[in-house]
Amino acid sequence: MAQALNILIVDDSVMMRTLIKRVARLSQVPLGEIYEASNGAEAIDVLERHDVHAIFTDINMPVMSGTELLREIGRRECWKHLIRVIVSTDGSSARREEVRDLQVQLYVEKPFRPEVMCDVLSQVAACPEPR
Amino acid sequence: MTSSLRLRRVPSPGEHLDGICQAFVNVAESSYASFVQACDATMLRDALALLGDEDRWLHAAVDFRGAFGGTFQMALPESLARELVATCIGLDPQEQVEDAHVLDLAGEMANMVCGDWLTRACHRRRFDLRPPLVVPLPPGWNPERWGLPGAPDGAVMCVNDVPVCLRLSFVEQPV
Repeated sequence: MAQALNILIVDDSVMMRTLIKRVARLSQVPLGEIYEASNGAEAIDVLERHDVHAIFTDINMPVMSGTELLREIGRRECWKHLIRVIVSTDGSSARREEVRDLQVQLYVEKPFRPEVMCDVLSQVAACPEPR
Repeated sequence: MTSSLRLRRVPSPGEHLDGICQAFVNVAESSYASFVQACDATMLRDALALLGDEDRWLHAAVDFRGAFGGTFQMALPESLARELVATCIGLDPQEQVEDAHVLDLAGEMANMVCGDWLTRACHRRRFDLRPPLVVPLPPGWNPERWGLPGAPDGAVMCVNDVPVCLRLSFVEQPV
């Protein structure tokens, strides 16, 4: 059986974090801990203290944005294994191009239907990265 | 004297109202499992009568910059926001909804509508959204304050038979 997936949800909206968490719990993917952070700086604090396998991050956030967070993750050798998913209202091709260099595996546009997020979680669980 | 500052063409709100309404439908149906329809004057009158005077309205505003610059505004009754919070996080009808969650929902909903519209309206250009600002509107506020229905810069949609007002404005931006 696959190892349970620990995920970190980063979004400045508590309702969005709750929605993603709820969908994740309803999915068939074996989940371990679900951590939350309301901006990139809080996310780094969580990553430094916990074993996280995948991160789901918004882009537009106060204090530290999602792109700044992903750049910081990219600089740290110990977080190389992290599976990176963007969940953003900005689905423009320019924004997708901008994050191409940030090792983002999946890009989810808000609003999303629950089944889309379930599918993304299944893809994350199937990612070959070491866990 | 001439200025060297070149400005982008400022669109009129009417050019983008259909796009905003479509984005609103996408958000309300996808994220909040709601039934959405356009609201004409008759429907609005009936819906307001059902709401009653004591229902407070919330105002959410999102500033955007990118291919266009401006502000998207949304006004919705607090009772609807509470209902959507309960739907979103799976609360039982008798469970209490936190006030902070109600304001957060209004802001995130406006944020998603604005982002969904801009993604479709200018797919090749990235855009930036300011964090949404959410405040309660003064007691007695109603859609007529925005000239709705019928204003050239706004529209009313019904979510689960409750009216929600949408309004769009643009500002000049340098090229």
